[in-house]
Amino acid sequence: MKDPLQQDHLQDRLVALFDQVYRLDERMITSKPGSAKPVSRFTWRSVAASTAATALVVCALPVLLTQFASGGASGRGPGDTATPTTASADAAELQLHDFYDKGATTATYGQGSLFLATNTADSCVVTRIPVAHRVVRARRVLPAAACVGMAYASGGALVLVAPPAAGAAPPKYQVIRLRSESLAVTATADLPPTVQQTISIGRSSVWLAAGNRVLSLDSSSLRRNGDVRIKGMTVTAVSPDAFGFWAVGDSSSGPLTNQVARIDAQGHLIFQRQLQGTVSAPTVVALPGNRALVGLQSSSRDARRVVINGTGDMAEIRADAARILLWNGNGGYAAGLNGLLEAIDNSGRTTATAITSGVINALTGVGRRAFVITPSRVAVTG
Amino acid sequence: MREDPVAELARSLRAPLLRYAFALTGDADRAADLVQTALERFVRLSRQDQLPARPLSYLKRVIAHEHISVWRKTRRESLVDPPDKATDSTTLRGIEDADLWRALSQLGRKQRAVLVLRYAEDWDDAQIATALGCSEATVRSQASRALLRLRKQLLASRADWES
Repeated sequence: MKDPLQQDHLQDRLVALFDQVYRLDERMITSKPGSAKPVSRFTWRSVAASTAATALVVCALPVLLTQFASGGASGRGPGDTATPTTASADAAELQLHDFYDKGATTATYGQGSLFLATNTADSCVVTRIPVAHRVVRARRVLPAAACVGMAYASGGALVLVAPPAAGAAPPKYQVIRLRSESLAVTATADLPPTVQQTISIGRSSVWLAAGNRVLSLDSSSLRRNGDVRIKGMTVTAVSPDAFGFWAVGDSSSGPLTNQVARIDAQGHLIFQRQLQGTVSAPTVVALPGNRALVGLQSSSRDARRVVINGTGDMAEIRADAARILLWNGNGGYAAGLNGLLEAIDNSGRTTATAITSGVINALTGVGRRAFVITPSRVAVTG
Repeated sequence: MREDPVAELARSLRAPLLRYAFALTGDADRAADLVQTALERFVRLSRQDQLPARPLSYLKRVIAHEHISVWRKTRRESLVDPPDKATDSTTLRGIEDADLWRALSQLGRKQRAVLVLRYAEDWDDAQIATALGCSEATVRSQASRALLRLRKQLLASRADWES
């Protein structure tokens, strides 16, 4: 009998194996365990239209609508600890453990350390806490009135965006780069005064949203290496990935509507489309597989999430929390008003929930682990 | 309304390309990304009236090349946590020779690409070399090393099973 590992037999096995793969049902490749309604990945009409620089893609996309919750965590204030109702009522309880006894305005995680930025009346204090020791190892008071966003970049750098100091002339937004170990300032760059609200770090770039513009800066030199304009949209959040970035925002004219745009690494608009709903300041996080999760929340009674793929097909998900989204590579979280935290799976659906004492200012983390930052303390998921 | 013929063509090529990219990568998400990238390039070309004569062949070349390029760009990345491999169990349900499929996942991207192009696509070494941007000698050496490595993997898994 022929040895199955002999060269020619191995080649036969390879041919047979690939033949089988080539006969696989497409759904076997694209569907994910645990996602009952997978988002269809491609709708070519939308891509064809978008590459012709069509501003808005309007085509018959398979929108998988699920009725979102009509109830919710209404009527609760910061610090309340009510149990969430609606969609997550049957979800498991998410365990939260105390990590640090002070809170912060925003936070990010990198190289084993948690970085916290706390805005005070006249300054911004940045703190580094190694996660293994839970002891503050570095603290720095920045010459900036506030920090509106912070992210950890590759190469041991921490990048912050600071709005102009009160009374400063001309009013300048600054990007500040710190050494992550010592928190020493290593570079600053002035930005146009309109730059505001959001910062995100890609593989080697810092992305900043400014009205309908998304600026891309080199994360080591802070030099500008891209400037994309997205017509008709005030960008409120960006999330980069290997392909380029996702941007979400509000329509810049007419009645308030939300929009999402997909831009490639060269700055080409792949598609831009309207989202169903009229909430202010949506948020977005890139998911694996050329998809993104968009959070839409204007109040605790009106929260939805939308999973959208690289060609604009989208599936809407009933949700309680959508104000802040975090994807950690193999796990995700969504935070809502009133301290509601949800663990979410790869399709954006809720798997577990928890309530923190106080509103959630920021989420950051690594793997399935998330640090939950409130004004008074930092907790970590179990 | 009649659909744009290019979009119609792209739609008809999507499924075979997805299977091809999946064989190439062993990863559903990466396969989808690669197909997406290739089809976008295809549509852009069509807008410039530069449609390739053999679209499927062109797209497969783009996917193979992009796959290796992605490898070049990201090989210095160190993942802080392994990615979700849950997809594997789904797709393995449709594959009988699971040992060989697992052994393939241990190969480098270029080695795997050479095997897919040679045994699934039946390309000759010159075609593979063009698609991957390397010499024919490299193709031959990569194929030889890949087969050797596969044999070792399969022998090891057979020994595990027998013990």
